[in-house]
This record gives sequence, C-alpha cells and structure tokens, in this order.
Amino acid sequence: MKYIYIFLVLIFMTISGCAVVQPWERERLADPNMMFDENPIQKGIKEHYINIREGSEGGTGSQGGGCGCG
Amino acid sequence: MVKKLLIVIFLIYPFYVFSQQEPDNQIQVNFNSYFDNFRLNVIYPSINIVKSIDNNTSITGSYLVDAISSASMKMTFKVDGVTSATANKQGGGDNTPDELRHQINLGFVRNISGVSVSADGMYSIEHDYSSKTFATNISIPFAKKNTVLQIGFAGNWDKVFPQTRFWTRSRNTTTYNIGMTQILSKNIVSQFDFSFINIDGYMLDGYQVVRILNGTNLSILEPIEPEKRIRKALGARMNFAVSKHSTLLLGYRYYWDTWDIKSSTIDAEYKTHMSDYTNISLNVRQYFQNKAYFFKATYTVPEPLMAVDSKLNSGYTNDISVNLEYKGNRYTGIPIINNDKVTFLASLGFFHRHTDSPDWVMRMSELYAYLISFGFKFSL
Repeated sequence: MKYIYIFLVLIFMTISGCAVVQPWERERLADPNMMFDENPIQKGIKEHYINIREGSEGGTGSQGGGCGCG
Repeated sequence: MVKKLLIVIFLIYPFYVFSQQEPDNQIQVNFNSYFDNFRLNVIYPSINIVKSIDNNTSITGSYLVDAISSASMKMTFKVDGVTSATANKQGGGDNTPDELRHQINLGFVRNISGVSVSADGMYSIEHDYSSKTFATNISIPFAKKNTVLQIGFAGNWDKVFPQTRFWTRSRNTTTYNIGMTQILSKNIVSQFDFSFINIDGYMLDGYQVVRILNGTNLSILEPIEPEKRIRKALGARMNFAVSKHSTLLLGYRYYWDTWDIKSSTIDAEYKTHMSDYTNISLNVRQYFQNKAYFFKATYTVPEPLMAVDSKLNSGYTNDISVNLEYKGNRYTGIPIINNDKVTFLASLGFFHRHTDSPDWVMRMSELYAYLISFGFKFSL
C-alpha cells in the first residue's frame, strides 16, 4: 500500500507545483482533442467489451455494470 | 500515519468553485459490432440524446440493444459456456440472435453556481439477468479552471436467474470514484482517477461448469467463488499538444483486488486533425494481469473455491484501434453529407488476449476479436 500513498503524494505535489494557465493562454488546450474521453459514448462501447474479457475495472473515470455478460 | 496525512491534505485543499461546460445538444446513433474466434458475435446499436431544457440544465437519454449470436457449445446446460448466451430455443448454433439485452438510461446534468451535477438511472433486462443502476457525479472546477475535481458514486442492483437453475440471486455493487483533471502548462493536461468498487453477492456466470476428471470418473460441478470482492484502481493520464494539430495521450492504470488479481494497463493515443473536416486517432493499449488466488487450470478434486472464468486467469491483452470523425460539410450539393450539423463516426479495433492456460471451454489460449463501429452525431 505504501506505493499507492507515494503515488497520491506525487499527484498532490504535481498539482500544487504547477503554474496557473490563464484563459487567454489556452488556445491549444481548447482543442477538442485535448479533452479526455471526448466521446464518452464510444469510450463506453469499448470498455463494455474490454470488461468482459479482462479481470480489472475502474481507474478510468467511468462506471460499468448492467449486464450478465461477465 | 501517511494515510491520515493524505486525508488532511485533501480536506484542507481549497475549493474555488466556478462553471463547467454544459454538454452539447445532440443525437448520436451508433451501430457497433464485435466478432471473435470464440464464436461470439454481438451487434450493438445504440441511440443517445442530450437536450438542454434551460440555460443550466440538460437531460440525457439512451437506448441500446445487445443482440448476441453464438454458436452453441452444446454443453451440459445447452448454453454457450464461453459467452453465457442462452439460446431462445435450446442449442442455438445458427446465425440468429440467441440473446437480446435492452438497456435504457435517463439522466440530467445541471449547473449549480458553476458546479456541474449529474445523475443517471439505468435499467437493463435480458431473459436471465436484470440490472438497475443509479449513478451521480459532481464536477467542481477551481483555481481559475486549471483544476477540476470529480467525485462519483454508482450503485448497481442486479438479479441473476439462469434459465437452467431454479433460483434467483442478487449482486449489489457500489462504486466510488474520485478524479482530478489538472492543467499543467499551455500544452499539457493531466488526469488522475481512483476507483473503489465493492461487490457483494453472486458473481459467477450461472451457466459455466467445472469438469473434474478423477481417473475415469467425470464430475460436473458448479464453480464456487467468494461472495465479496473489493476492487481498487488508480489511473493517471497525460495529454500533450505535440503540434498545432496533433495530441498525444499517455496513460497508466494499476488495479488490485481482494481476489489477489493485480494488473497494469498502459495506453497511448495519437490524435490529429487531418483537415478542417477530418479527425483521426490511433489508440494502442497493453494490459497484464495475474490470476485470482483460487483459479486453476485444472481441478482434480472438488475444492471450496473453483473458478473457470478466463478473466480470472493470468495473461495479457493487446488492443489497437483507429477512430475517424468526419464533419459533413466538406462537399456541397450532396444530400445528408452536406450538412454542417452532422459528424460521421467510424472505428475499427483489434483485440488479442493471451491466457497462461487454455480457456476451460474453448481449450484455446489465444482470443482474437474484431470491433467495428460506425455512426453519426447530429447537433440539435
């Protein structure tokens, strides 16, 4: 478990240490391709099939369930 | 001590609340398919709608059908032991759907003083399984929108009633998610996500069986798995703007659970605007896992816990997919395509899974699957 705590501390340090990017500096960040899971429907379709073939779930910002397929 | 310190850090971290983007009004229709060498074919059409009802509220809805066709393995229970598809008439084995699953979702997204709150209800039914889900999510942006905190909860209440059994059993799942999306620079954005999933109840496939050969005696028994499972996953992703038109996403996920499965997933996705109308992405993903502590390639005597599900076996998977988006205003004079409200979608994927011992039913270690999807989005 200590690795997980170290991982969380690193996340916090990363977040705390970064500079604030002003709205007028976000031209590239505003590109739809910079969004995580730009199309959540397609993401859900893919995860649906992956979840019935692999023993893991979670950690990707979405929630599964709903069928008796696995 | 470290745990307490982390809790304190997260509690005192300031929450400066402001607005989150509302989803666009649109209809999205997808026609998806899945084929693999374990003789499973799935056609999966879906329709999704997002419509705003005032300046701060949108309602969402979707309907989908899983149509599963699978050549029957003619097992003891006359169902497909690989896919769990149970024939409408015993045996299956032709190209007509053996099983249909219907799913409907209804929900809303509301912006309350800059904080985005969503709730979603889902009902899924097939002839041997039903599921109800309630999910809610809150997104809190702060630090001048450089940081967005996401907190999610979902509850699943499932009922399992296999056609070949005389009982109905329950499976209840609660999922907690906490995530944070963080702008790191003008060209880099990151996301961290932690999931905690608690499952209680019947987690088996109601049709699979364990064959135990002891000398010349063949015993066919039901698998037995623990009725509790706690699953945890930590994920981190970073998206880099590598040029004016292209981005590169790199991700890693670590997963562990109380059945002793541990896994690592790495993935990379390259996206580029090939023109003002065309967007293409290439995704590569690799996954490794070890086996559940009670999974065995063979059983020689009945044991307190026995599993035959290949998902619980050790192995790895590879996945590669290409996605294409095409905005429909490129060519003038062509009906349907000549509409700047339409975006066409297409994707092609290949999935390979290797397990360290052959699948209990198919007796193969290598699974090869193909996923094809196409559809469109229409802005309302």
